[in-house]
Amino acid sequence: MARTSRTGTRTDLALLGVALVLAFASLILPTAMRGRVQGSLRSTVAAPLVAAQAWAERGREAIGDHGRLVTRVDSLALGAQAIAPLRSENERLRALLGLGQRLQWGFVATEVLHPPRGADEHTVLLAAGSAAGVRPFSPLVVPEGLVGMVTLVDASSSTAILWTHPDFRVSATTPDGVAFGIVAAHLGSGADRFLLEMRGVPFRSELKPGTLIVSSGLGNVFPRGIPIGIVLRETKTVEGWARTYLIRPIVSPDAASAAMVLLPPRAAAGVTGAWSSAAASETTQKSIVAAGDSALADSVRQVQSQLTKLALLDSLRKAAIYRGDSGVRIESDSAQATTRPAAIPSSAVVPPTTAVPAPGKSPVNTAPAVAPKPSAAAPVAATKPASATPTPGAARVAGPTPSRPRPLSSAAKRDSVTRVAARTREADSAKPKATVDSAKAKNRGDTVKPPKPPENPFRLPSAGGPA
Amino acid sequence: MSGVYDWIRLSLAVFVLVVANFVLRPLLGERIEIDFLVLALLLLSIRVRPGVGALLGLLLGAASDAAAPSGFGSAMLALTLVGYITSWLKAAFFAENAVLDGVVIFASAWGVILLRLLLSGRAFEGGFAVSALVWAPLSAGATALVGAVLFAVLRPLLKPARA
Repeated sequence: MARTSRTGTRTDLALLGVALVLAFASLILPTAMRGRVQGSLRSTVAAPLVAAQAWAERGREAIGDHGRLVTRVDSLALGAQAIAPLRSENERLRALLGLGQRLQWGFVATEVLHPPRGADEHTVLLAAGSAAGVRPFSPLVVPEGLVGMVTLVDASSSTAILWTHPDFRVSATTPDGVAFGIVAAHLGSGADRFLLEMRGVPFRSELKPGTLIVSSGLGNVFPRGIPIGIVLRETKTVEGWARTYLIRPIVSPDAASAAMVLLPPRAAAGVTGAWSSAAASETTQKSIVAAGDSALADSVRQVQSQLTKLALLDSLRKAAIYRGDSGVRIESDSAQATTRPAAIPSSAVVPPTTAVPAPGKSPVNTAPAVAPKPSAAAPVAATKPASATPTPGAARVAGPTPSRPRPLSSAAKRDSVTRVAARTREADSAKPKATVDSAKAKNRGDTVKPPKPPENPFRLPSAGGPA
Repeated sequence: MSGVYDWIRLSLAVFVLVVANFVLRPLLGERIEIDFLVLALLLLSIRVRPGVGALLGLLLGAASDAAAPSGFGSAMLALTLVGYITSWLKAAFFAENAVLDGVVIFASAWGVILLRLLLSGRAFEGGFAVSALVWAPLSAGATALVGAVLFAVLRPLLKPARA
């Protein structure tokens, strides 16, 4: 028993020695060999354990990442809340830059400091003063239109009244100059509190709701053409000799955080074009919307079908003309290549206005707005001069070419070519215009009238005109 | 160990502990770690002779070193010593005293951590004292707590062999 115990102890010590030697050997191995041994262990017997540990490490990282991601999402959500005001401010500043580019000179961009609630809400403080050129009675504008007027000025700041101020007045008119009046704050209550009213409009001048009201330029304070508001409706007044209209202001005074002060030289020079492009784009948008009206769309379709028929008839007529002079045309190609258009394919139905532009006019100007869209190859084929050497294709599309051309003298050839060219120009320039006008007039049920010269949009209303 | 089923149960318990060392240990914490390999070694070493315990410690240490980024051989040496000593002191586990089990597990785990810190060349690095005197005892304590509970639960199932 004692021997067994001693044998066991020796065996245990021997095993312990072996284990310690192996452990020490692992410790003192060179780095390269230690790496190889460790790598072999990782790739063989310890591979499942290493894989499990890697999986667990990834799980722990995922748990840690979850907290970080939640924090990041919260931060992004917090940042996203600030994006909307920043985007709005960015758009306003971009619009202000656009107004500055249109004005080009004579303005001061300034920050508008609104008073705290409870104070005079009709007056604002501007961060620009006389050092920047601001003077009293300078208009305060934003990209949308008129905001107010500078009243007090010191070196580094100034005070302006908004259009909501009871003392604010501006001479106003419609863009076409039909009606004039004085725009002032409505001073109503409730929903009408922040409205304007246009007083003193002559009784003969009836404004429809939606009419744009701009500054008239009278009085030498506000230049002409600054948008003020849109006509809402007419209000009844006790005077009876003039009309008063409620105006929905274009500019909200609270939204004006940055504005421009028009300096006196700029106000005196006028701001023509600074707001008209915006108004034009708005008008264009309204026209596009109006074009979507079904009745108008039907009318347009009718005009288009009539134009197509007329173009087809005209093409047939032209083809008939060419067919009659085909021999002359082919023979005179070499001499009159630059004065005569190429043959129009009979298969392509193209309005004559797009086939041959009138002299001095572009095809875009001469083509009617409702004309059918020509194919891509048609304008090229129509405007390309005929080549000096007639090709078989050109002769084919021009019509049946007689095998024996008629013998003509040179004078007769020139006369024939001149006659054909004159007919072509006449058909291309005069007839389509009248055709379009007549088609439109027919669609409206009116009689065709000769076109009137464009009126001056800034003319003053005639005193004895109809109401 | 008398029967084959006892060895199967023991092997299954050791396998679970070894897998837990590589799967659960990274998930449970970075500073305070539960050394399931020490618990597995103690489960084995109290049932075998000291020499075999030393060899088992060497094998478990090799598995631990294979997955360690540095200090290859330190776990082998530490667990070899722990396996031999705990197998030699296995009479302590027969007392069926959970506190005594915890003390032995605590000493074993702390010793393994200290040996690994010393043999992996981090003895002269900054933070060694904190690791050896703060985090290592806490980890050893956590291991002892888990081990004491585990041994108390598994004692009816894993009957230790007589010396």
